[in-house]
Amino acid sequence: VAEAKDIAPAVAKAFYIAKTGRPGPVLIDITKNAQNELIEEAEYKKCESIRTYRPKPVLSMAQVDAAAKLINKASRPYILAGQGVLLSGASNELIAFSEKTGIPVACTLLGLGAFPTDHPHYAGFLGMHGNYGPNVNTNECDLLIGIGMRFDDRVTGNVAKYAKQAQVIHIDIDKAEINKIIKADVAVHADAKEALTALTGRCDRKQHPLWLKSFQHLNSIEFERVINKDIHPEGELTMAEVIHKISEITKGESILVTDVGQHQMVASRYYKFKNPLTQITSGGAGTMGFALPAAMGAKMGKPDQQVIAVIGDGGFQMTVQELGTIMQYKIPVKILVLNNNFLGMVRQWQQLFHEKRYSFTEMSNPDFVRLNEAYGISAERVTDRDELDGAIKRFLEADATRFLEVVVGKEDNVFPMVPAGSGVAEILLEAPKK
Amino acid sequence: MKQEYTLEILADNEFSILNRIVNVLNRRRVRIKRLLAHETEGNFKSGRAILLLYTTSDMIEKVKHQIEKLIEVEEAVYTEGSHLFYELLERSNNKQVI
Repeated sequence: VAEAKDIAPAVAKAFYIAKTGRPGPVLIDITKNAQNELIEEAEYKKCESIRTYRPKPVLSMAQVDAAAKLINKASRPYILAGQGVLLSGASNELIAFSEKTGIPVACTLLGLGAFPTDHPHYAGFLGMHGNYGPNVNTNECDLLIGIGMRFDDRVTGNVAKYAKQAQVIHIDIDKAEINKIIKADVAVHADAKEALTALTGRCDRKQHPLWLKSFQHLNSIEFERVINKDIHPEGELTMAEVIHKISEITKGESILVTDVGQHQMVASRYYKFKNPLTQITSGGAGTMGFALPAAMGAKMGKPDQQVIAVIGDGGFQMTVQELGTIMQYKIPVKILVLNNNFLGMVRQWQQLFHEKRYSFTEMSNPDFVRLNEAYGISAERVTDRDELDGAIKRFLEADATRFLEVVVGKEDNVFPMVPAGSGVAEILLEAPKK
Repeated sequence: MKQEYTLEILADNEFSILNRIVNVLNRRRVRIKRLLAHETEGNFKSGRAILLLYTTSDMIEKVKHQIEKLIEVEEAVYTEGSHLFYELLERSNNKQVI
């Protein structure tokens, strides 16, 4: 934007682009000249269309009919729900669709919250560090229905070993995502809410009890071998037990903002999200340092809801200066740092795939409690299991901004894990024995 | 297998639009063999770019959609081979409206 008269239309256009279609950020570049220029009158007129931009595809009933036909004859159908479901506000439509058709639903990282975790049709969390059932059964289903998700590499693992046996229905508002990674047998280029409403009307009422049970069976194996040990550990504190406790106390109803790394995967695995739009994380961008500023934004947007930022010791220092903003505007967010004194996820890869050659992953951290106190934020550190319950209680009950650091095991790993290059069914429940 | 494709793009003629179109191709290492771009005759607000690309059928389909995602782009259409490119190039050289 080089002239002041163009600023208002540019901002109006930016809001229109940011909020429609597949929503996202818009960059506006305003020259210094334009900023200093004086104009008579700046009129802000809402932008409602751009000639060359068609954000909302028209739902094709032929595509819906083709999809319904596949769904009605499938015996092991399986839904993968992504952030598109949340962005289109289609959670209730997804629940109605799943209940009518009896199809199990797994959520991607950004799709968490799109389907309630306590619903009997909930299959689990998908992806590299997701649950056992949803990953293994990807290669067992006969129909895969991706809704508002993009078959990202963290979901698919090795594409050559991904759901080869299944037919694929892909519902997405962004045409460029369809057939990009996984070829769709039926593509529905549409808004998730419209597509789900139309599909629910055209699909038969069905149940798939045995198929649902196979997810529960696989997830119970994971519970035995991984989850139970994670949430009821002996020895050092674990990230999982902290998140598990917070999830139970908040009943999965708080807004959880996570950074990037091990704590992000643990939080996504162990926090039992009940409601849409309660999980905020940077997803594919993978930006460490995201959680603290994002949590501030979440709290400003939803001042009546409890907002908890879960951050690792590495990511916390990347945007630690935002404590100043929190102090200045008195934003009552909860800040939980799970400190293992490592860049834990990178270390995990170095351990498992690079023969433990740790390179620049060990951290010498400052005293986080004193650092927060310098910003006038009440803070506490926990190193012992006996102190954990009391500390979490004080953390969650505080009215003002509150910081809690939990010092956890230095070299704990996040499992299950689909190693890079492996297929989803080759998901590991523990480190391979050398 | 890689082969030649002619990609025709209609767009609003905003500053940097050609740059962003080429960026989509650069990021995916799509080879540009020839490029012809011009304003629409009598209407400087819109324009057209015609590119001769050398890539796979999978990739041309992907870049078509990615280029269509650019806000100012109205349409991107591709055809196999180079004949359309040279036809349009010749008409452009003869200053015919294309």
